[in-house]
Amino acid sequence: MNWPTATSTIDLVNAHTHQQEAEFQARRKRARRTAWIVGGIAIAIFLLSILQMLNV
Amino acid sequence: MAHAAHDQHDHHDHEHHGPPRNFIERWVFSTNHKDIGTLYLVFALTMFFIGGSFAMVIRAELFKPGLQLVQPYFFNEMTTLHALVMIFGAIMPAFVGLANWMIPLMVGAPDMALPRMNNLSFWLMPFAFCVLLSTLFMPGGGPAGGWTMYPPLSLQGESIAYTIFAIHLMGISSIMGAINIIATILNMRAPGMDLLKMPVFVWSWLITAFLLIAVMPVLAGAVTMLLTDKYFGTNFFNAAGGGDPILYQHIFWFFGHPEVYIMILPAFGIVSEIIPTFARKPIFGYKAMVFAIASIAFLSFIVWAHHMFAVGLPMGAEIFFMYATMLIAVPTGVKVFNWVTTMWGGSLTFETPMLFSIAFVILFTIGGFSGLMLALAPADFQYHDTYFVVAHFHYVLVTGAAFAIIAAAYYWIPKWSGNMYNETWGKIHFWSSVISVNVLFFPQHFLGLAGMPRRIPDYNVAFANFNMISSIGGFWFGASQLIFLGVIIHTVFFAKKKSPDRSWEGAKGLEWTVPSPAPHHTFAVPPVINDDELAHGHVDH
Repeated sequence: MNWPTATSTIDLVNAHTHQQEAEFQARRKRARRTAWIVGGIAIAIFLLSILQMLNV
Repeated sequence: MAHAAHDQHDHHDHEHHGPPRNFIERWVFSTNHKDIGTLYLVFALTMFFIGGSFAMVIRAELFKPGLQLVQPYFFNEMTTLHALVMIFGAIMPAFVGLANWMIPLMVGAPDMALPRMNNLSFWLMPFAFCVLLSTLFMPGGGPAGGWTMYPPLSLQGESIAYTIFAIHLMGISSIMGAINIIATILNMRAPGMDLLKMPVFVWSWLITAFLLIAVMPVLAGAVTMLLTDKYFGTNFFNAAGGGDPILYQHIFWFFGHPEVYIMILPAFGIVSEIIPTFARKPIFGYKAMVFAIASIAFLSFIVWAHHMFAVGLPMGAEIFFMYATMLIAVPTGVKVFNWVTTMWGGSLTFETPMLFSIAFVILFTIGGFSGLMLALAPADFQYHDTYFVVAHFHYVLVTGAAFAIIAAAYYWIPKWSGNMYNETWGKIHFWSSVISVNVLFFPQHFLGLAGMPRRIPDYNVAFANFNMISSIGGFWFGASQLIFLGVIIHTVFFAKKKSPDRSWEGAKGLEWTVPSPAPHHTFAVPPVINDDELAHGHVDH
């Protein structure tokens, strides 16, 4: 939560400093990890719902 | 200072990184959340009119007793496709479109977390609906067994394969959309935008996205088993082969009931944004609103068999599902109370979004009351499969979900287009819609109580008068939506009146700090979160 914020004109001119860019990429990486986890849960629920195939 | 600062930045950003000039590049290959949101909304509006035209065929046929215009099989195709198109093609994509447009703006993110997957989620939808609607032109016709696709009825004819493929595509699209929304909300919020500072609309979508992840795969499983029963010799739902058709109903409604909440929770979020704006007060009971949405979502998983009271459930199951269903009235009552209390003592004005939101609160509550009546297991034996059910769910989905989407369109279109809509025509659209929708659906309560079954093209002459009134209301409501189309086209392409950045005097939230129309890229530099700017005011942790 230490992502620097734009509070002055200087900040704006130098928008997307390296630190900001690194933090942004880290967030994107965490977002991709979240997506894989949630997607995995969805696939698991799908497989669970057709598990009955094994009983028939 | 902070807001002025990022406004400047956005202008700067817009000049150098505007949308691609090439039409195909912009709209087909788009990864921009605003463009994809627009695509979803245009798609949903198109499907709304296609699904609406099917409804017009239904109401025209039911205008008088006797077979008038279409053959019974075609009538059944219309009822089936009207539901599938409206649920999966209009309501859900409209909410996803609103989520795409507004969630990044509301949480201060530069875009959705997974922009390319966002593009794929959208483009699966038109393909899925082309497959689904193409079945109308197949030899043997399209699906006619109802949107619930109960076997063995739904397995007649070959179009079921196309229908199942289309549903798989829609399901994949919905799941990818939900993944994107969850990843965006959990990871892309601006610093300082804590979970309990998020607007209620964002909360409602976060919870809805988890519902989608939990139940869309179950629908996919159910229809996959239908497919294997039809084409690969399995007997999951075939009683002659040792299967159980009731099993399908259990699996379907385990998806189907949360699906109802998938279509209403984002509507709760929208109304929770609009009412505080036009009451010029923070929403009453912000945390209670969030917890009520979460409670409703949880309860939606344990009530599915109230759709099946008439199949012969054990007494214990009927009692459990009856009481569990009635329990939903508690958090829903909390929400209605909080909306009314937000308005109480507020400095109210009645622009079109507010009018649709107030109509939502009143008419959705009527739908909720008839839902309570249907929840009573003994009474449901009388109501089941009658027009009372049709009246109930149309009050929930038309005056509930659809009215909220229309309210959202009026509320945010100044931000999307940079132009103000024509308030006079907006109000004409509202009054015409709100009167006609009651003429359309209220008499259906009486028809149902008198015993008129749903999904029939012909009926006893005793039901003639109410059906004629309902059909007149239907044509009137359908025509009213052409006004909506006209207002949108006028606002986007022809309106002269420009919108300020903050389109509504009482509007709060990050989305109103960016210019109107919102630049192609926003919040490339994260905004400063100021509690005074939040729609629900300061929240103690």
